[in-house]
Amino acid sequence: MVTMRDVRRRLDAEEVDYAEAAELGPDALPHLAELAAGADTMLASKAVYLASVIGGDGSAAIVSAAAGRGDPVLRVAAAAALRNLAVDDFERVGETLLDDEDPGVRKVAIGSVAAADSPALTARVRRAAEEDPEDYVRDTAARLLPPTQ
Amino acid sequence: MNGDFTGDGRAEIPITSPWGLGVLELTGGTLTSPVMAANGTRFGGWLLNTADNRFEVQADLDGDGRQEILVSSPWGIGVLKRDGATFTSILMAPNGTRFGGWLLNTADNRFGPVGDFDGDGRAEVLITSPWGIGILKLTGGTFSVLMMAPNGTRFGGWLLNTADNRFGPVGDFGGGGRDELLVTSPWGLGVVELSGGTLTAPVMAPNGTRFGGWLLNTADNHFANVGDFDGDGRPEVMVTSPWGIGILARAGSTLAPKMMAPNGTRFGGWLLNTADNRFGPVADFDGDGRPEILVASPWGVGMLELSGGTLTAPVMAPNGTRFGGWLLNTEDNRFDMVGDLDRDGKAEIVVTSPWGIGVLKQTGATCTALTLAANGTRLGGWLLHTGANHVGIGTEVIRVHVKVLTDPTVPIDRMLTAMQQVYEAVGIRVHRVSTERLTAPALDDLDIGRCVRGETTAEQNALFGNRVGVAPGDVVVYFVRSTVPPTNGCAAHPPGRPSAVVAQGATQWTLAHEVGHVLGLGHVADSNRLMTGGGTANITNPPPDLIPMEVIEMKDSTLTHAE
Repeated sequence: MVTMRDVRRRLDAEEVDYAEAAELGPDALPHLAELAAGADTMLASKAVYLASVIGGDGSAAIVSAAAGRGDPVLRVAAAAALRNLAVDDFERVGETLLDDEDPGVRKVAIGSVAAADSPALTARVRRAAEEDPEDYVRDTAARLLPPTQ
Repeated sequence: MNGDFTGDGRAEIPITSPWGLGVLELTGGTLTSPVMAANGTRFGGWLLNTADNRFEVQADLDGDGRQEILVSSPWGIGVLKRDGATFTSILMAPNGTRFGGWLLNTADNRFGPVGDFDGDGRAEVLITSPWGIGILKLTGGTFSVLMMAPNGTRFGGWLLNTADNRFGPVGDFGGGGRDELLVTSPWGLGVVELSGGTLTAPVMAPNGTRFGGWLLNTADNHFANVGDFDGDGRPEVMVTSPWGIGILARAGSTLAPKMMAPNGTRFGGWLLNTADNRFGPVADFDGDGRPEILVASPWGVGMLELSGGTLTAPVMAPNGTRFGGWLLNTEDNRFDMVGDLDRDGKAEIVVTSPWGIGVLKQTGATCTALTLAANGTRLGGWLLHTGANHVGIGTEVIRVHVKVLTDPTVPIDRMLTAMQQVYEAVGIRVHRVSTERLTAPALDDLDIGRCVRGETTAEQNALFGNRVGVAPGDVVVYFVRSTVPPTNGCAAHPPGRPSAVVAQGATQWTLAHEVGHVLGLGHVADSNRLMTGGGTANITNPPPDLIPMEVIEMKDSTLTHAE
């Protein structure tokens, strides 16, 4: 039985050890969902990322919800979490985040896509390397996934 | 005199290690150790244990012309007096003791600065706590209280609040024969003095005040070294800021500059740059009756002295210079202590490095080494190992540069005040050297990888490369929007670039916590301590604590130094 207190004990740390925190397992996901929807952005972003590391049923929904939140810090957390999702969820949430209005979110999402194996999203990143309006996002995309000739 | 435990007119060098406590003195051309005591030794009733003893201040508390050491531990406090080849305790008091109305509790009492606040020729000890302030005077075998007041008290117009008041330096700025105490807060500056059983504030100035041309801003003004730089019999205080340097004297109910100069000024050949110049300690190195300011930079060292309305540099030496056999390298040399070790009326500099220890003496436009000893040398019986030895007693300083990509939710000023509250309670002053806004959107959501010591990502390396004009021994803190993965902050940094990042959603204590990591501290399982692994948001009894072993480690870091 994982309690909210158990979850907070891991996530309140200044520097969260996500590998260790993931040992809480899927029983932590309801608590993480609650924290991810909360008003404390720092705690919510940690909860989103930890949910992705734990994985399993419900984790993708937490990441997906964060990808639609108004605070870009939460969407950055979702973009970072992307790399830990299963392929279907990865592509669905990734589509959204690669189109995010915030260039920081797009940069982090590109990093996640580059770390995964998804032909569909890889093509999107290659396009970003040429077409993204932000220089540093194009540079990140080009560095991680150079455009094909 | 600094470090004169015997009253013979010569300074001695207190030195501590995990083994115990020693006192070194210059005899002939070498250092000997007339006092050596292993942990477990009893100084009278005081049980020496350098793992948890904090040597707070040294001063002549009983007026006999010899300095004593005030030491604290989790048990209580003691005043140690040298007695031949050992020390004895002339005062010991466990926590819970009442000194007059003051309740001793070394867990949250801060000792120092010291000064002769009542003008009787003996030093008293300022003591502060989360409750308020007091001045302790050694009387017989105990302390009496000259004054004490809780937070919220008005000293004249000055509102006491030990949570954000910073006390010191001390000096007889008004020339009345009694030391006054300079105090700063986020509001401004005051000079307070003992008057009957309370303090009054003959000088009070809010930020924005002009002292002549000097613009007061306590957020980035650093008041440190005190000395009678112009030889008029009254000490002045040196102040630095991101703009430049000034020497201020008390003039009635305000301060007035004896000199001030912006960065870029040449003092003789010395190029002023407060971003990477480290000032102090000050002492009379040439015996002219006026102190000079030791200054170090990534270029080398100099000695500055007041001459008319400016400073001159009678000594300047670039790194690589040999002072006798001592190879100058400001990147790893620590100028730990100054004092007249050979009783010739001129102060010498005790310098340490990873190689060993030296005693440097000004000779004309350069310095010579009176003695040198490599690590492994026996100084008398003391086995020198500068990696584990700490030289000198007293306040140290850490210099912090702030670089902002995104403003945190908790204002940076508040984080720094919180850091000062915690660090300065254990004798480490926090000097905010500079503040810069960085435009680096690619690094604003920073990839920190696993955030473990000695392991950094390409993005961290790129961000921490932004330290132009920052001295190697200074810490840079970067404020970013977020980290990937999410954390409050991260202190992993590449070698030679002591740095940390703090995220937008960090707490008021995160900055102090991360810099604690930079200084070598690890996590602890105690939510009442700064280095809690359970999150600074859960600190149970703010301000959080640093325990003696942590303080020893922080002061042993090359990133803290004497001033």
